[in-house]
Amino acid sequence: MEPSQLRAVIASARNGSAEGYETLLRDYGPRLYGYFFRATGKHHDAEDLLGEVMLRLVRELKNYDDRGRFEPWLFRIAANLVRDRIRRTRANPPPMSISDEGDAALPLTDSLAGEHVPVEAGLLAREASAGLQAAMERLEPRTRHMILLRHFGQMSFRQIADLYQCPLGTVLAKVHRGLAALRKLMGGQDGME
Amino acid sequence: MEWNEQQYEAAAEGLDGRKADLTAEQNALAEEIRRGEAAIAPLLDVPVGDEVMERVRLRMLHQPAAHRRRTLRWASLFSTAAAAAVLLAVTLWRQASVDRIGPSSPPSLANVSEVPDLREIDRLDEEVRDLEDELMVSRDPGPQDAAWEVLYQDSDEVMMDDLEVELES
Repeated sequence: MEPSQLRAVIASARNGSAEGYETLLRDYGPRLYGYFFRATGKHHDAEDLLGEVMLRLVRELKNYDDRGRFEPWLFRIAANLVRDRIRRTRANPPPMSISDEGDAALPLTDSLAGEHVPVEAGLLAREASAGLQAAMERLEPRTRHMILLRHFGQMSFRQIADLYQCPLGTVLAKVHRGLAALRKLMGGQDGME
Repeated sequence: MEWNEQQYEAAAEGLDGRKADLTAEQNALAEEIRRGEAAIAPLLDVPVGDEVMERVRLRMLHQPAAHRRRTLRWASLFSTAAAAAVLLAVTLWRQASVDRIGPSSPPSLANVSEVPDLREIDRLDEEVRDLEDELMVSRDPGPQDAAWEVLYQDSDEVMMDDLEVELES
């Protein structure tokens, strides 16, 4: 979305226009969903978090400073939501079920809901996606989130450093090592070699 | 190849577009990272179903209103409960005051506003007078009264004697 168009949409949403919010959801929803899915490994959590972040957007948009960039601001909220969700899950782990076996496995509820089957292009794509998810899960959590925020949030290294309050060089070093680890874990798969 | 913190920082500045004059090593590092990110990009994207987007849209548009309604309902409930609590507290406080120091106005004053019944007053006055009369009639003469009676009789006799003497003379 062009910056001027984005400003108009934000202004419209701030004035309480449902259409403004729908436009923001349409434009940023898929990327946010991807970020949430890659961060949690579950479609159900990704949908729930997407709903949460959009509700936060409705509540917090009045506090958004127009001079800043919208995407990093939005993904900063998203990153905080993921962090809270992971913390809560660690404190109260859900009961184990067949559907929870392995992060790459599709939860039973999602399969029954029929969400996953139509949106995957095919078996190979699904395997590659699942393989990447499994590899991502093996990364150190902070490194994984930095890589995800670079891709989905299109955040600069400086913005990620500010978010995690660590030196700029450290962010790049972590991302560099994370990418190298993914390349090694995913060795031989399409797109990685 | 190993890179140090300064090289990472410079490469990060270069990748963010804030630094152009990178050394060959820093450029190589930046290029390696750029390639790595590009390699995973197509695998990272996750398509989203229309049903998911529709459910999120409905939640986004309707939940804030439902939240507002719920907040108003709670606020109304709390204010009613607070008013009831204040009323109860005042009632208990007044009850405690009455128990401790008695009613706030004495009964005599409380009845001041009532119109006095004159017939009742007359009746009571008459009753009091009757009682006084009864008291006087039924009263037994005490020792003092008897002494006075004797004294009076003696003085009468003395006076009669004096009168007779005068008449004789």
